[in-house]
Amino acid sequence: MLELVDNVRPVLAMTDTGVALTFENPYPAIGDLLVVVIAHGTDVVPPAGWIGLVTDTAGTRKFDAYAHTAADDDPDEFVFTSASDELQGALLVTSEANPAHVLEASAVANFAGDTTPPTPAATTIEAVHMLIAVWSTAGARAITAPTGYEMVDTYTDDLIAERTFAIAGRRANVVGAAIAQPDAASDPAGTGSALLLVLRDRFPVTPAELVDLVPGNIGLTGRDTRPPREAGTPEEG
Amino acid sequence: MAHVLLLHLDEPEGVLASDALGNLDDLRVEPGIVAPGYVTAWTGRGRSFDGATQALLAPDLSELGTLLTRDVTIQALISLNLDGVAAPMTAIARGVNDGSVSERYAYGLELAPHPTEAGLVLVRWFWSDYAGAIQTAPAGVFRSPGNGKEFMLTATRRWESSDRVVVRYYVNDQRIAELVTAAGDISGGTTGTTTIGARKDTGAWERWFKGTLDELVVADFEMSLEEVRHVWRRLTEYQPGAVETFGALAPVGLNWAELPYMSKLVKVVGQAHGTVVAEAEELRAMWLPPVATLESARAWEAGLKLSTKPRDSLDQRRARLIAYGSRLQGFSIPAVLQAVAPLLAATPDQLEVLEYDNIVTDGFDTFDTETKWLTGDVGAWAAAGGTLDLVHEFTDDIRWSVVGNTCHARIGIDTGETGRFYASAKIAAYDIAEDAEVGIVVENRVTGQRLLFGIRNEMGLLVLGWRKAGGAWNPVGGAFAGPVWLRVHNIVSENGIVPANPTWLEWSTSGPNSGFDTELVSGIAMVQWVGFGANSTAAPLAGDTTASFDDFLAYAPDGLRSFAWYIYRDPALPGIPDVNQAVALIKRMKPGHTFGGFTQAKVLPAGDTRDGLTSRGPLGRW
Repeated sequence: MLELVDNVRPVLAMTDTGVALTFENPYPAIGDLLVVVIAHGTDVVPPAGWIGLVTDTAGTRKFDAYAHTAADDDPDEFVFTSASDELQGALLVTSEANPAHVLEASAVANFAGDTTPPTPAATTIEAVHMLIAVWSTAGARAITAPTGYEMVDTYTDDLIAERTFAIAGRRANVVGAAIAQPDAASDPAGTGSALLLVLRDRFPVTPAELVDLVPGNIGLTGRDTRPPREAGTPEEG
Repeated sequence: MAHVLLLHLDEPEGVLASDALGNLDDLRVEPGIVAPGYVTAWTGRGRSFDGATQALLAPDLSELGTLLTRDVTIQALISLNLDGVAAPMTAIARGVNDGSVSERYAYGLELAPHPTEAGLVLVRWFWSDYAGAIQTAPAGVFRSPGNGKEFMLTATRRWESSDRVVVRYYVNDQRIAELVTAAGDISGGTTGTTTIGARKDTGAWERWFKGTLDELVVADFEMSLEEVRHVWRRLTEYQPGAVETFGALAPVGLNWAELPYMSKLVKVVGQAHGTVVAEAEELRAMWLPPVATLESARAWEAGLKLSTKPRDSLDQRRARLIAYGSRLQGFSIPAVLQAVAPLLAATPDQLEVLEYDNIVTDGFDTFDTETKWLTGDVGAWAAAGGTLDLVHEFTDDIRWSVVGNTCHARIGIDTGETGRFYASAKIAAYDIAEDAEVGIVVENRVTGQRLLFGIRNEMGLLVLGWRKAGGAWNPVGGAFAGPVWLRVHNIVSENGIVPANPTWLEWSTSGPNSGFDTELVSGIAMVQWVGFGANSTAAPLAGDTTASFDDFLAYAPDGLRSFAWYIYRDPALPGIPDVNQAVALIKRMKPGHTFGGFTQAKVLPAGDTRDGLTSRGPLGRW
């Protein structure tokens, strides 16, 4: 079952050719899926070996998401670069994600001067999929995750222009199209964009068949150890 | 922890299926349904349902019945036939939903073909709420192994509150989903009817199961992942292995499996042996807290005298046991938070551990008057540009002899029983009216003793010196200008004749670490407060008096401050914390040499930490 195992906060720094967002390799289990989400204003160049999941330019702030399957020859750092922009992002380590179909859906929403930044609506066909919500706002803001979401990380950078980034996640728990999500909270009011990713669970398990060369197993067992019921015990319901 | 229903479904043809535990009456048909077929299944016999007309039902038989409106586990050995199936299929439903409370669905389990992905199967709980509406839990998904291929399916439901129910699904020994639903109102009555192979809703049979039910058990607890895996291992490893082991005792060349008597004997003896091995292995593998069953966890809790809530989940109990055990490796804040959080109706990240140090510093980027500094009624204190600025206006009356000890900014300091302390600061700038003085102040407010060490305007001339309350000004050093670095302490002692309450006064105009001159004076006993203050021997002030202080440090090497810690819960959080249970658990988990407590306020009135109350110390102000 898809789980968020770890997350890494990047380091943002100026370089000779622009800015670099550097994630230290968390060295997860080989085969775990690393997902990076970046909020930016200009084009981002990912390192080798990362596939693009989504590039969303619809929002005021743009988002890119990438994925990479952890391998034993991965470098110590993953560096994402841009010509010049206040990049922000997070690296998520997931276990039992679907490596062939990582992303089921994504959506973007803008907000301006809002103390309750929206979370874009989610479309998911399986309750076990995971929703990842990201908010990027101008200025230093205290972002609180929406009800039901667990905040993964939130921080403020100020290399070029002060910006706040927040990322939260939850199990979908419901299925359907464009399911409304609760709003986050921003103190003070924030202006920026929000992204929602729906990460797919692993390929559904195929249970092995019960095979016995000599059929006739005892099967399931059980015992009722409940104490006798007293007279007059009220009916439940 | 009990099983309430056990259907082997291995009765010979013509014999009604029965509950091995005696809680359900024999399963039979009624108008509208026909009996499922008798077939060979993995355990020997099972019942085959055609997905259109075949089902069974029975009322409760024993007084204990099969009603479960909270935690439930349904485990079944089943095979599916998905040919032509488009609608959900009911494996079992407790209740026939005829409009009466007693027949509302207390629980039910159904499977359904995935709406868009061929070959995938959804499995999900359903039940009725208090209004009688059917609530369907979110579904787990697995890929069908193929028509007629038998596997083990387990579904668990854990009721946590009226708006949170956790459901888990397993195929064989793998968990395929853990999901949460807010439908926590679960209805059902004690005289309800159980149906197998279909569900009855307002008089109509629907959602017919198509496949074979080999065995089915219902339990009143949430089976853990380890327990599910252990059932699987018993069925697929221990029992078959024991059968083979015993079968190997047959004479060489004899194929016991082909001899009816021998094969039955080998199977019975072998599986019995395998069951014993499985039980022993379960005891061995599942007694430690991280994998304990609910039964074992309760035994651990009783033995360790850990306080718990009755509705604590197995996950919470395990986490608490682990946290309790990990304390033996040293004081682990995350472990304490993990253990205490459920009792405080919070998650660990919603709680904060307040810890303290015997050293307090302040660079005055801000002036924290909520949890750190107290200020007096006279004078204005504010942090600006990295200094703490005091402003007394012309005509203010700041005489200690008149206004008492209110001309100050102070913090509490716990010097312990030795009374040793150290305080230092920089007076960065100053403009002092004639006959006024500013500086570091140390005091004991119980005895009324106070000492100021700083700068005084003596008839227009600025001089360094000190004064005790009620005493004269004592100049030290000579002429000076610019910022002054001051130290007051009684940590260093000197052999020979010393004054009462020996206190070292040190001053430098060179910098914070060099050029200090010293003077040993008779200070005050048991300093309790350090900070900054001002005094005047004339009233009103002859002019504005201002001072800027910086680089404050206070140190109490023998204080108890660093041994105190508190778990803080924001009172604005929803829910009701069980404070008594939490405090009892904290006391059991904390290192013995510390004081640990719980608080919903970061600032409390003062008292004494050593008597077990939170009224004094790090949170305290007089």
